[in-house]
Amino acid sequence: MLVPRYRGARDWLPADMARFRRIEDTFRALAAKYGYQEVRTPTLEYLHLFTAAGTLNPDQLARVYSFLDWDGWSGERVALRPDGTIPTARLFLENLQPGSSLHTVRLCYVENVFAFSNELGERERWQCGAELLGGDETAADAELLLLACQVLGRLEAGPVVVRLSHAGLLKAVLRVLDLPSETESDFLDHLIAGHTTEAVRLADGQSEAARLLPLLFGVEAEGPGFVRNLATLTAEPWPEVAGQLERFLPLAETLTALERPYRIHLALDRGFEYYTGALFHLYVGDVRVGGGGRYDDLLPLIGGAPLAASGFALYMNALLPLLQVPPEAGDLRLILADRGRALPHAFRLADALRAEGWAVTLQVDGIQADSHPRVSIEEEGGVVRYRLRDGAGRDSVVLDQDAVLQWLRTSPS
Amino acid sequence: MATDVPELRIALPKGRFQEAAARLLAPLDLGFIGEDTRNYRFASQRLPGLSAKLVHEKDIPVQVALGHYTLGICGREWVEEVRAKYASPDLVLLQELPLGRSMVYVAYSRFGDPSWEALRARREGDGIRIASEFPNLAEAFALRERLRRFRIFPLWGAAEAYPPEAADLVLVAVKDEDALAPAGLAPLAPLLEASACIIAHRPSLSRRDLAPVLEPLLTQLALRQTANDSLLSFAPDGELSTVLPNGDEAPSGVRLALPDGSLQGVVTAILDRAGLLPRGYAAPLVTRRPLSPESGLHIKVIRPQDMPLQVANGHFDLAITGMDWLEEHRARFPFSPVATLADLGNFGRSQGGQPARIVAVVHGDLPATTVDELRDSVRSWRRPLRIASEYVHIADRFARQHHLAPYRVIPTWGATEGFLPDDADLLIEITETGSTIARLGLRIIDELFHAPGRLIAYKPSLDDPQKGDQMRDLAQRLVTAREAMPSVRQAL
Repeated sequence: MLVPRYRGARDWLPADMARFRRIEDTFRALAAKYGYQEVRTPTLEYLHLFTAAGTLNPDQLARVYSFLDWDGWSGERVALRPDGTIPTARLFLENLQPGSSLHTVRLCYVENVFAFSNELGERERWQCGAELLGGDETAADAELLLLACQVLGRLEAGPVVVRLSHAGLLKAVLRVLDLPSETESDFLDHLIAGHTTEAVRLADGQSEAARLLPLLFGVEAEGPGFVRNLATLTAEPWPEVAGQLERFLPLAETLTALERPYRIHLALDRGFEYYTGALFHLYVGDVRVGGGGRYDDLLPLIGGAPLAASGFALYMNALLPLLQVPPEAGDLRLILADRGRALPHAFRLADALRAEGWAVTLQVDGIQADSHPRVSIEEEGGVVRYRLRDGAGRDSVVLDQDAVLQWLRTSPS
Repeated sequence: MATDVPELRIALPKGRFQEAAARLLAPLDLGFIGEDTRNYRFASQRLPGLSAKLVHEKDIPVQVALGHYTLGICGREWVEEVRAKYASPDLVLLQELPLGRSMVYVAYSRFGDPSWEALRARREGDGIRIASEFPNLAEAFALRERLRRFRIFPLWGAAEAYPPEAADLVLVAVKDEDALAPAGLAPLAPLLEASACIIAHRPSLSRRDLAPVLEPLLTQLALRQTANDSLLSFAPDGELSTVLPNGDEAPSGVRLALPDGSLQGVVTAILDRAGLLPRGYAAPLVTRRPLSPESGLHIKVIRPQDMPLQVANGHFDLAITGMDWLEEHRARFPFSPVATLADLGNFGRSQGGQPARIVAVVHGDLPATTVDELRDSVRSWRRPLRIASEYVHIADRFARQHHLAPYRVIPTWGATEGFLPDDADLLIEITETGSTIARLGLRIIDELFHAPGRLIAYKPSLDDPQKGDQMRDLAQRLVTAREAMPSVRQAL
């Protein structure tokens, strides 16, 4: 009976891994150039890291893989990491908490996260994430967004669409409307689905809701002018909302000045509850390939001092199908005509070639038909012959390893 | 004329709803008369193809969701307990029944903190401890309440015994809110209104005509309701025991847990002979906190299944339980700080005085007389071996150690013999004489271990200079008393 792979998991085949490494390498290289240092958090964390109010919501927590450890008689559950940001924040607090002189910490990671999904969904997903702890709000948000876009650009996954919204604004609207808790969830669902009329109905009787909700959440726009317009329109009736729009404005202005195209759609989905400021979602076509935002309140929730923070993650599982398979690196075949006696010579030659930078594949079961340069090795009467064929199909025969190396150095392939 | 119903199975509840269910099902001629029975299987004389099996009520929602049964009758609270964790699309509620109406409450001790807010503020940093027979509902509650940190203690019962010393919150099913106060509990929130119900396997409901079964059942229900049948309006059993304050959440001295249920008789006899019998312990049980005969000894009565975990958490220094439950705990937590302090001998009541033992059992029709032969059979199957047991972790360890892959362990709450052969291939069971196993046409293929009574201890307390000596002295008195006793059967 063949044991199939676990439902919701995937096998990463060689072509997948080639694209996976391309994403990972591109992300790591660019993040390093922005000053981000790579970290890795454990796959297992205490569940209560994620149950702290305001981190993950109950629906998300209900899909976390958690269990009692072999010494878990106290009932303390551990969880397979369901999110990259919260463990990174925990790592920061536990190991890198800045002294008074350290203002900003930039961290990045490539990690998997786990969450239960139905039969069609993937339960293990990989992320490239970057977190910027401390520093100026607008500068940090803009830097993270530019880094994310630059990675996607380098990957040539396709035209990237940036959509911006603002968690602080949404929360301010909810505070103004002061909806009953049982209505709030439906209200958000309608907003996110673009059903502003239904949302207005739920906010029935609230001053200015019928006028302002469609303006705030029913219009998709671009440029800081829209944000200024909304701030002006909301200043009188809903000053708290206007305050959040004023807070959002510098980021829109900065991105416009940098000629980085973006769309503003303030009814983007709710995401994690820990977000407090600008939110950005990254799309290639209809595929959401990344997202992130500002989470200034997270660190105090998990036991740290208040600290401004922001981050993003690129979704590797979503990105993978959008990428071309990188071309195979040029390599060389070593073919053994006489596998018994020629084998030691083949291993010695392979080591020498690898030291010179070649990728060498030993073939003991016949010649594979391809255009790679090849060296066939045979031994007879104590004499070793190396039959050579380069990438252009030219043949030669030499009698020692140094001659093979010399011939390959000068080979046009 | 008999209507043919192709292969339709009903899961009937063993226990509190058994007689009422028998009355409702009478028109189906299942031969299920509702009295306590060792017979688990019934076949309808009226509807060929319709059969029924007696299953522990708590197991019925899972068995129906898996499609092992088309219909089932059980308490709604057990349906919701399953749904709280596994939103099975294959389980559908057909009909509420006016049986055993109850409310599931979240409650805390009346004798601890003055309010839930005070309790939460004091305990949340270390983790709010929630003890319950409904661990999934408890977890859903904790998540919904956004508790920053919590710990769930799954129980076999007697949740009211735990607060405030060993739990901060409990989830309990009671007739109404008034039942909480005598049990020493204050309500925090009503979670769920429950009564018995008929549930169905959703795919079967959507594909098959169940009317030949449902129509007579619902007609009978209407008739019985019209006739004011008292069986259809009884209150839930499992009334909470009275809990009086002891005034001290962390009493000094030794904390001893005594078992309720089937072990109560033999333990009463041992304690009596040792001069340690607390007032209020001897059956019928009147309190979860019987009065200790000695100063410096604090006693609570809980389920023997729950004792090792409670001792491991330091909620008790000593507990009297069976080796089976100690091993079940050790199989789950191999590094647990629970030690065996004394062997209290055979607790079995059988005529021949045979010791209780844990055995591996298959159906007589299975061509396997040893575990090796079973393993060879499993290799040719196109599905996993199904192992049913109350001892989930012993069963899991047994399967691992004997390389019975692939396998699945089906947790049960009792009446496990009824699982063979349709719903399981192997049982890990406790038996004394093996006569019930033989009578049901089952076969023992391995004996895992003997399961005598044990006095277990919390290791750190044994190392405590004050408590350690007192614990060892109590152990010696119990052992001396047990050795001086005739067989359990005679002693009782």
